Amino acid sequence: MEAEDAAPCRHAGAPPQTVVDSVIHLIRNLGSDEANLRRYGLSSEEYTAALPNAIETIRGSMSASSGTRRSFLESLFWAMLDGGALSAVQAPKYGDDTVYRLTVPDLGDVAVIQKGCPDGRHSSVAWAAPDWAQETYLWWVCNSTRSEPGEHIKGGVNRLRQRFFSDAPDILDGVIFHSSLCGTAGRRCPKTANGIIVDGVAVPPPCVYIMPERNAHASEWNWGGTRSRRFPSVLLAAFGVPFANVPAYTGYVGFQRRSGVLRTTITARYGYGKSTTFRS
Amino acid sequence: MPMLDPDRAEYLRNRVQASHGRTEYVSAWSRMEKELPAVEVDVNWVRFSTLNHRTRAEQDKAMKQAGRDDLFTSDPLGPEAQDAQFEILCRQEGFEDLKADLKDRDQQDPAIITADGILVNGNRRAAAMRSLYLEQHLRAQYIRCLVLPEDASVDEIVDLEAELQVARTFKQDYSWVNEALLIEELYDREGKSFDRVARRMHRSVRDVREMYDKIQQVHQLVAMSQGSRHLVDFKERESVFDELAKHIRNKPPKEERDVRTVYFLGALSDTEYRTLRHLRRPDAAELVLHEVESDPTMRPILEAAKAESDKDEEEDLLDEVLGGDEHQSPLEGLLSLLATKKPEANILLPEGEKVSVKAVLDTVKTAVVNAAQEAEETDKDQGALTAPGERVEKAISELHRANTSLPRARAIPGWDEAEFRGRIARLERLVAKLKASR
Repeated sequence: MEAEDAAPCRHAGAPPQTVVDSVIHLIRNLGSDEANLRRYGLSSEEYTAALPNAIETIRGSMSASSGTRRSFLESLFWAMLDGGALSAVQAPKYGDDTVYRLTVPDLGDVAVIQKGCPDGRHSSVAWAAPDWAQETYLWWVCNSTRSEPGEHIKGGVNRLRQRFFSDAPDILDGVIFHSSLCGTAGRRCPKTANGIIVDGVAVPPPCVYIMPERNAHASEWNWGGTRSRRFPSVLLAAFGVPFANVPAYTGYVGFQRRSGVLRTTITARYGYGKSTTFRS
Repeated sequence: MPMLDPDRAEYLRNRVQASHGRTEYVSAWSRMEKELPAVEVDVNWVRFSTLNHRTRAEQDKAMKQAGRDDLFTSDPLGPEAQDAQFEILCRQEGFEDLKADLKDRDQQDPAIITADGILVNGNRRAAAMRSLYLEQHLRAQYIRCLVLPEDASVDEIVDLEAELQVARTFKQDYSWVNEALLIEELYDREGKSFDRVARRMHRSVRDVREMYDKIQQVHQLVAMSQGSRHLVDFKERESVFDELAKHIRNKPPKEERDVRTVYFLGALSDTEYRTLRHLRRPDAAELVLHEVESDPTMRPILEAAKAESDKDEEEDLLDEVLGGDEHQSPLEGLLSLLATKKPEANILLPEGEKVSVKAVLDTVKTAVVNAAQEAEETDKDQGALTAPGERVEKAISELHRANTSLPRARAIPGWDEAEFRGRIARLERLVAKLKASR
């Protein structure tokens, strides 16, 4: 199975690479289109000099800002609070690391670390599990359609694997891939039947993957996906998934050392009879 | 001898007479006299052969879809059978290319028809010309045909078809399923002698035997499906059935049964044959079952399979097909459940939910691929385990040979003793390193 099989969905409507290449070609060649530049009061030299800064600015304004990501998660957590799944939500203050402290009845505090797309270095490596957290999750709020969702997840898990086998003291209980794009025409979700309305928008259940537990003497870490955590059932219950069905909606990440080679397995589960796996 | 339609035979007889003795040589015709009369007849007048081997699998599907076992046999020359056959021919792969070619270059080779105008050879061309004519391409109105004698027997006609259409130059017209069905028919007709079938098909005995063996596997899966799958559904999966048939030949019954179960699940779920290849091993079914059972999404599916299998215990088709009288294993139960349902159907789960067969097959494919990957890793581990010993063994064998050839080499002028000693020293250093390694 390919990396894209790490998630049950695919992107639709992303422009093919040939179109992207044509746009790059167009932008590059605009510098020599003096008649067009004149209309904007620009010289060819000014265009060339300002282009890198302009691209940087466009990039910043087009990608989902931390604020956008935050509002998506906050809305969801407030909905869970209203529904009684959570007894308290402590949202991060501006300037803090984006870590939500969710208080779950009978479980305690759960940390959700909000990040962007998983394959970015900042999104999968730069985090710390709070010491107050009973369970800690990295939530990738990723609206990028540059790669298929499964490819994004694989990229993130690869980075997390380095950290898993490093000396860093803290590890994750799970990762979650879910954003406002999920369930839309751009990223059709096979779990929409379990969707809920949050702020007037239909939101499908998130893709949750349980991460392995460290064990210095093992050669396999959650390879068979047997590790269970408590927060996924709380989260999925908010989407109407009964407790007994939670295993059929909870994916997992596993590692294995075999003949000196480190392998990864990433399985997504999305209902009875429905699972998909990427395995290296 | 086939019964001729007297009116059509008379029409054609007159047509032949009017063609001023034009004939063409047909080397594939089994009689001494190989010149056959050539005529041009209206493309709507000729009748398609409903016994055409190239469409057997498609006919099988059409009959099941129409719920009419006699669709092509009750009145094979009537409009219903002929229209159905025309539709099948029009839907065959490459039909549009053939039409385009006929439109550009007209008919190059004559068709061959019986004495009452049934196409023995050239069914696709006639269909393509008829289709062109229906689209107002008037040059396609007449089809050039060679006419068989009125006393041509059924055997002679089948032989001619085998000669003309299965000889390698015509092979591209056949899907492997239809070709294998023809081999199967010839095998029965030729006293179950692969030698004779091979001679008739201009193929090696091994080729025809392998074709025969693999179509038997497809028959089994189709029979197991109880009508939900058709032979034609597997025409893209030749390699799967080829490798299965080769592997299970002469294997113990349990391995035969287990590997077949895994391969059938692979065939239904569109698993690549290159992936399935890693599961040609005695524990194939265990490996796949382990993957399926460790997937919590499959739990209710296995329960549904078990419930169905318990229900059908009285008429256990799977046992019959797989040739065993043991109880169905959970994996066989799953195969039975999935094979008997069309991909677009739903499976009703014990808790009242529904899941589509297509979705479950995708998940089964994941399990089969995972099992194959693990089997491949195990093979690699095994290879890694034995590699050092095997390489040392090879080195020992080479050193024995060096010892034998050394006296002769030393006797030849130009022998460099110093260089040889240098090599021995390198060897000794390597052996010391091997001995010291832990």
